[in-house]
Amino acid sequence: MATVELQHVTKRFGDVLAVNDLNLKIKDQEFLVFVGPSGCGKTTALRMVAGLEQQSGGNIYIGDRLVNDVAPKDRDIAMVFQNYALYPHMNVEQNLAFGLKLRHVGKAEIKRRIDGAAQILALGHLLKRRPRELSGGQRQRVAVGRAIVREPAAFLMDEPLSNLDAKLRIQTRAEIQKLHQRIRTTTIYVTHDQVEAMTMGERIAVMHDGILQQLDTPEALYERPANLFVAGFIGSPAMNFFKGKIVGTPDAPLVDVGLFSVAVPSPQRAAASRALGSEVVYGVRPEHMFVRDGSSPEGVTVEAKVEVVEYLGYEEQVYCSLDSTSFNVRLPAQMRTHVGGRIPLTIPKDRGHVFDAKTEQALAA
Amino acid sequence: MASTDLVVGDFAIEHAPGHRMRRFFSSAAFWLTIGAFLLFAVFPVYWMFVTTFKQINDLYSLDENPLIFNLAPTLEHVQFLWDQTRYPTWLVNTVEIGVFTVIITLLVSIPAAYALARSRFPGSGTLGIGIFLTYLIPPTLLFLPLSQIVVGLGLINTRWSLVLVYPTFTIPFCTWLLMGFFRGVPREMTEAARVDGCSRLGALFRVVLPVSLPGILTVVIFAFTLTMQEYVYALTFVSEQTEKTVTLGVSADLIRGDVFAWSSLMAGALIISVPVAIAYNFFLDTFVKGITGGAVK
Ligand SMILES: Nc1ncnc2c1ncn2[C@@H]1O[C@H](COP(=O)(O)OP(=O)(O)OP(=O)(O)O)[C@@H](O)[C@H]1O
Ligand SMILES: [Mg+2]
Repeated sequence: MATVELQHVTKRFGDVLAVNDLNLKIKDQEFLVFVGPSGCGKTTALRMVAGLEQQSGGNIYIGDRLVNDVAPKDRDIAMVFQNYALYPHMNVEQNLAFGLKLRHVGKAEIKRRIDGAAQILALGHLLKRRPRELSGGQRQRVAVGRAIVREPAAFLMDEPLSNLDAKLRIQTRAEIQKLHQRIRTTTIYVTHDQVEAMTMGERIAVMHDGILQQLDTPEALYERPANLFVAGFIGSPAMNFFKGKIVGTPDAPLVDVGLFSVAVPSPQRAAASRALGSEVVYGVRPEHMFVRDGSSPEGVTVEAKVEVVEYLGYEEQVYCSLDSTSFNVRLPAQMRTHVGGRIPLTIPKDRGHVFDAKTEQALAA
Repeated sequence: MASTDLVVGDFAIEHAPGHRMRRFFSSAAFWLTIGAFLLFAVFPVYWMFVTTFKQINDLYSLDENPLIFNLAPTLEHVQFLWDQTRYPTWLVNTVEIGVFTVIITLLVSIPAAYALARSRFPGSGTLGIGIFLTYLIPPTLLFLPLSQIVVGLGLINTRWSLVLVYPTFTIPFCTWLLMGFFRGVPREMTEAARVDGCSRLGALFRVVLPVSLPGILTVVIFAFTLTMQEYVYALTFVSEQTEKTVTLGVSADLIRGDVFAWSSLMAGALIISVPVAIAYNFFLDTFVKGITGGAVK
């Protein structure tokens, strides 16, 4: 097991800057997720750690070893590919044993490790089958098994669940988490699905256009997004944004978005006091707004028009408009909101986020 | 296929009369096409077979049905071919030349095709097509310059001249063919192997080649048949009896002026084509199926 560290790592494909000055350190035993929209450079970053892609600049360390010029086979990492990439001419057992034989691991030891992996992944009855005789989920488990038996310094996984159907994906997601709790191998996990990232990652690296946007725990990403991109990317449905301006006094700064004014949330109050008059974006998550009743928390209340209601059983997703601005809220299902009606929505005073409109960064203390 | 009935659950679907007619015609057209094609493909082989075993009187008799044995079949012509000509030597030569050519071809084509299929240097695609185009230059153009080389190397009149020359057309063709097969092997599979502990070359040998075995067998058989049927180079570079190939020997020794030893000619052709036909049908079919599949997704 080991740490993995990237220092100023950059990758260019011709004119495309796929990864731009990436700096991060994955702790020993950590489960770190790379997440971001398609084409943001997650796969490229992972492949550079694996050694399958040579970085254009920067240094990569696995443990204390600089691996810039080390071949993939000598980096002591194991990788799970999106399409599994099993060896079709070998049965499951041979697939698992392949990497061990190449490393001259003894017969008894190979057997011990394969039995161990087969037990963890419930592959015992499949060992003699060829990959083509397996279902998608079973292939996926074999691909993970091939990584486990190696007992490497780190696992690299590139969207290993994206070829599974929704139900199996959620189930396997939990299995991978359990697996990690059990063997604690340092893991870098790539996904474009923010739900997967939030549920699995101990820390999450959000990437966009080849640039690391924020590296933090799921809670921090959700509670304190560093910029507009992260705020919009994490959370589903996405955060609502309103353009506005800082007004009020240094002691009590407000965001005036035209339709309403709301107090700047307390963690950002100091920064806002220094930025009176500047253009900002005010963001609030759909799940943080309430229909006003007696027990509502303190905040500002607006009369919103209900445009569309999506009933989900446990809640409703309601698309509202306020003059020409539209936004959405998540309300309890028993609200039975009527399309075309008006509802009084409360925006609690400390749940919002204020971003500088120009730099798109969150106003920081 | 056009001939199967459409059945849903336990109920055969009732067809309107017009529909049924159309179905009849479309399936008739299907079988007619297949039949015509079969006739076209099988007839020469059948003719070869019948002629080989016919007695001379039967063969030249114009009054009888030429498609069947009217007199008892005979082994006389096969015997003649075997005892009175150098056919066994030619056969050995042909196989020997074929084997060496195939080995040389594989040694060159596999690395070339793999490099062209996998590396992303500028113009790698064009280069692949360029290599294939050299295959299209006819031997009738090339044998003159090549004869200079063959003479220069002192190989003229030996079968080794052909071992040297045949790869000039098998390599381009097989490289091009193998490129297609190698492109079909997912890149991730070699990458998985490299992460698992192979060098680039190791991944080629341990994963890409085993997975492309059907492709490689195809290439072996193609290269072998290409050398087997070659005539122009054999005719120009080899005149020594003991160095000839079957194609050359049979046509040179069994056609004396305008006297054709038809039956022995056909026997010579039949003997060499049967193993190849078997190889094509059994070998490839069983191998092509079922090796790959299930690697990805
Ligand atoms: N081999 C390559 N040649 C040229 N450009 C490439 C190559 N590989 C990736 N790129 C480019 O680099 C950028 C990042 O690609 P990458 O595959 O890392 O994205 P990703 O974040 O994994 O996206 P996805 O979620 O779609 O898998 C993209 O713009 C892509 O077009
Ligand atoms: Mg990717």
